[in-house]
Amino acid sequence: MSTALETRAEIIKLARVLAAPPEQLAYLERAAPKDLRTLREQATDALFEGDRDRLRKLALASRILPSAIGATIARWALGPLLSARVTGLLDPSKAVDLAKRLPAAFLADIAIDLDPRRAREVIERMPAAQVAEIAGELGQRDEQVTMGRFVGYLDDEAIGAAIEQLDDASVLRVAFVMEDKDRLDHILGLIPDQRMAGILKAAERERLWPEALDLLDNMSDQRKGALAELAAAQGLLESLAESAYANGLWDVVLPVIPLMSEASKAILGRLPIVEDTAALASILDAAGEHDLWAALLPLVDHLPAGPRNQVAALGATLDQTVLEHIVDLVNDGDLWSMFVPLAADHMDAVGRERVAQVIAGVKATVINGMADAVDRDSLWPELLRIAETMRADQLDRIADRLLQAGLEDRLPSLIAAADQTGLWEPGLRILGGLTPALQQRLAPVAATLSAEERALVAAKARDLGLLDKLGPIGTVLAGASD
Amino acid sequence: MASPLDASVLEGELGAKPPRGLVEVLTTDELRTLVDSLVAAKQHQSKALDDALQDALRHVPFILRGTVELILT
Repeated sequence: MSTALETRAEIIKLARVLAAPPEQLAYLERAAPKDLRTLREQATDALFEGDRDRLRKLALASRILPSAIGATIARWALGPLLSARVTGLLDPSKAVDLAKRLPAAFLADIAIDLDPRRAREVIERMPAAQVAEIAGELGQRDEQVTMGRFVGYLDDEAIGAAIEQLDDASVLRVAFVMEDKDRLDHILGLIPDQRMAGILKAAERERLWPEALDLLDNMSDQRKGALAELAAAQGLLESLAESAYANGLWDVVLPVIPLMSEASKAILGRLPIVEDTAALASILDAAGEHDLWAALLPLVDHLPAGPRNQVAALGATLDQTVLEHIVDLVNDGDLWSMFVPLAADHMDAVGRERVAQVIAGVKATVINGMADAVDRDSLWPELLRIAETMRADQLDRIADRLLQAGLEDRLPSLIAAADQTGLWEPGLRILGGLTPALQQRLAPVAATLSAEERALVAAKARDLGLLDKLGPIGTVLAGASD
Repeated sequence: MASPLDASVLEGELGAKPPRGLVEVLTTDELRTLVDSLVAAKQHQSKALDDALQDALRHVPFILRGTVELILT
């Protein structure tokens, strides 16, 4: 849960303990959620300890009274607050027996004031059907905070029964304020897909996306992906994204992108909000702030030209270290087929040069990964556009890596790309930067080019004063042009 | 930021040391408001318990009332 949402939920819960309206505690919004939770537990303990002796005596007296009378006293004399306070002091089986004789409405009243930490055994022993009845009652009263405190103490059967009694929006609200969310993913597994679709629709209908996004944040990756697919299928991604933007929750949404199908990513990438300059800038800010580049990069391929240009423009302004990190992530995720064209075709000359400087300095393994992708996805023209801004020594450094694997295929591809783009200089500098041994190995490959091709390459190399640098390759080429 | 004195008042009411981070972000006035809210909640509960104990005895059968009264007092 984001800190702001968590703080809001904690203030609601503390207000309940202090019997004060939440607005009266607005000054606590600056406090950390974990501090507010500690404060709430301390306040609950203080309220309990203040009357502990008298409450203990009350529990003692209940032992000699038949349950029917005990239930009457609880209902008509003690009332819900004191019944709640005394519950944890009762023998658990006696407490459950008393509960059987009390109406759900009164038990709901007790639940509101009950500290579950002090009544764990009683809660665990409550029959699922009765838990469901109480949940239904609490749901009608919008007592999601109360239910959220109990979820962690109930077994699957009781939780399943309770969920059936709640409407979709209530399920979201309860999940939002639920304590100890470690179990949330498991609990969500108890909810059928059809019901989950209804819950997502409720999020849109009742403006509960922050609550739904909190749910998302607490799910396993597998369930996150499934939920995103469900949202896409229901046509809900637009309102979800708008809410994420409005509430500053991109850090919750972005990690879900790699878990989505390509079709859903395409829907996300073409949402109107992504074409909103400010919204897209906020997405990139979130990616930078929370280091979510790895999650965001797979979306870039699905962006229309406008947003893609903006991503490229903003990307070109990132710090060198961030760009280096992004290039590493691109390599880790084999996202070169997205990244190379992004840099070559969507960045301006300055941006291309910055990317080129980063690529020129990366580890050999990264260059290998890029070279494989360039060859596999026919990205030589784009790569030449980036290489155009590299210095000779930088091209020398990467030349071997670019060509050493798959020599037979890569040389013709490189030459074809140079011819197509007119970028002969970087192309020939790459060949000139190869080690003599690799040039020697490439010479026979050069000989397989057509006579016209060899003559063309030789002429270009001669014009650029690079023929000598090509070593044995140059000799083969020059032979054709003599 | 609250003064140490105010923090100790809150500690007295809570019966435990309040979270340091909380005390650090609250002003003196805000801390006092928080203490007041806690005191009010305690008083409310105590009064409710007084009334309830009196009322409870009315529901106890005559034959058990003496024993229950003895336990409660």
